[in-house]
Amino acid sequence: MMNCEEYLLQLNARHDGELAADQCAELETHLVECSHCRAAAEGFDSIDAELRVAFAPRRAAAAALTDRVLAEVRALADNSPTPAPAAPRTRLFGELSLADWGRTLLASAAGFLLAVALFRSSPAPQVNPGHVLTAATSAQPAGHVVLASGPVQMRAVNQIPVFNCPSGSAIKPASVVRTGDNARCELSLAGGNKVRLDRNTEITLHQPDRVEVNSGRLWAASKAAAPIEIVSYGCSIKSDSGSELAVERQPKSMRVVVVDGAVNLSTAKESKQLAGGQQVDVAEDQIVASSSENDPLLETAWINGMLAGRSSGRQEFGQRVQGLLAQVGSAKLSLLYEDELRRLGDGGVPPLVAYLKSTQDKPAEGQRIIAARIVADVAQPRRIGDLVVLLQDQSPEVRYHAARGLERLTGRDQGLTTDAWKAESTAEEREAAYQKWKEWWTANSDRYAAHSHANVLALAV
Amino acid sequence: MTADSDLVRLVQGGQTSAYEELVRRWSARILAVCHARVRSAHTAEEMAQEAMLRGLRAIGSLNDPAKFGPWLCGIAVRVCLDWLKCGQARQVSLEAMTDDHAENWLAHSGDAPDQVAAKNDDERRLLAEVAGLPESYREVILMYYYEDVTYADVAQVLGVSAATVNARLTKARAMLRERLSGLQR
Repeated sequence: MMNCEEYLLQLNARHDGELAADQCAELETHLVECSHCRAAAEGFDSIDAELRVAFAPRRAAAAALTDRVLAEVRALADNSPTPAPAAPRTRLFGELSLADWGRTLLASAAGFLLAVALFRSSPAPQVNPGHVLTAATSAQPAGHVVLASGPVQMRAVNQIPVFNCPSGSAIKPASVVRTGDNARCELSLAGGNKVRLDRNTEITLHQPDRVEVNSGRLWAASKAAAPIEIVSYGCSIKSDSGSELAVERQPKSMRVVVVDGAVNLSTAKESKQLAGGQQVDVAEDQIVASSSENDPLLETAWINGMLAGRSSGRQEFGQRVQGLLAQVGSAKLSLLYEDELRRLGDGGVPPLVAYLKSTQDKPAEGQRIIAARIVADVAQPRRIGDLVVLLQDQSPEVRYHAARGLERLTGRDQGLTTDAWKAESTAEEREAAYQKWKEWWTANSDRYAAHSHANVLALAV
Repeated sequence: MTADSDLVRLVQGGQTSAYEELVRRWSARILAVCHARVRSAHTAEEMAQEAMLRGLRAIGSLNDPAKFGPWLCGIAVRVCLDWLKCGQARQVSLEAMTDDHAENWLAHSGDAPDQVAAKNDDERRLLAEVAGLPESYREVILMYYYEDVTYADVAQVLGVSAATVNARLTKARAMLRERLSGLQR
């Protein structure tokens, strides 16, 4: 029986996405009974959030440091194939030769001109003429880049210089933010709202509560106490209460998908209140029901990859995965939901395993078998521990799929064939095979890359 | 993704450009290691830059390319110790690490004065409390929040187990919560 001090360690690991799925169930049970640990869980959330905000400038500094070191490495490479020892340096610029400076300046100029060309090639942002822009001199950032999967660029409105924005960068009000072909990003806005940009998306962050979509796709979540306005294509989308929505801007139209909550959509000709689940297209100031047959979860599936593997996105990602799973086998376009779950690959396995663990009291439920089947097909070696634990599931089908996944990943069956896990074996035979799997994994886990230490511990109990 | 060991072998074979990828992967962690030791953000950046360049110069002496990360961290620690020993540490003394001097801990040469001044009191106090943590806790907090890493990543650099990283993070966060709330135990 663990004490609260040990549960606190588990709470900390769970917060960071480092706790094995099978330990989560026992922890959840303890949290129901222990107010001290519940308070501690909230404390972890709040201190973590505060630390992430406080460290945002440090992350930006780390990115700038990287650039400086790379410049010096390239300069050294140009000068000599085997860099000569140099005295300890405290100033970068004073020790570069004239030739180094020349190359550095030429490279900088080329990059600058390229950035100007890229930004100038996109349509100018459409600003609602009725809105007065606040001068971009506020010392308070309008937001921060909290996640970037590739290069994200920023410039001030009506200015030319372009800056790269790694994770942690602060975004001032009246800034244009743009993602390229291979980048998605998430911005945390002052006030607590969030926006995510898909690839090839450009927005203007006028203020923390006013975002303009110039091109591409945006997802936004607003809190009840922090209204947000999304403007695009001459339209205004206002959310006065907590809501989640997505906007896709095309050259001559716009799609609005309301995932949750309610928003008010206004064009020059009409205004409509939209509720969660609704999708509309806007063209020539007219609002019509969307022709898309995808529900909001599928329309916003592009954000799933940004959530997978992030401790801060774990809860949201788990909800989305379970939402997709609920539609498999029941929705009209059921295959699309299963395809999305499979597309997530190994990143989607933790919430599926968590779902299987949390539904042990409904062993025969159809969605459990679908979840187990997907896990068996897509799990990577680091999930072997999770699959071993699933061998003890109440459902023969789930056990069968777990064994199938283990055979795919390891080439082994520990003396019990995959079919036998479904029907033909006795409880004693299954227990014996399970123990062999446990011992084997404990002895061999080091051979498999990127497994979780906690995963090994889970089986050592 | 090319393994660190393969990149190291390329550099050792004369392909210096391969070191650029190693810099991208390790610069944030090296900066965190330096920051934990010298406490001044600006000095940490200089130390980290020096460490990574020393790593390039000395990479021919690395016998086990798979151990590049911990090896480079060792260089960073020695660079910081050299700096601390030679008396430059007097410029930013431990006594200076109070709330009033949190700017030293925060400041980066690229920050405009208004950006430094604009950090709210809560953030300044939090970072000052981080600076005041015992080294093993300060180190793990810095490593964890300077970039997106796992417990295994931090454990590899510090030479401890992932369970130890968890324990230190748990304790560090608890200490920060207590200090910020002013509670006494």
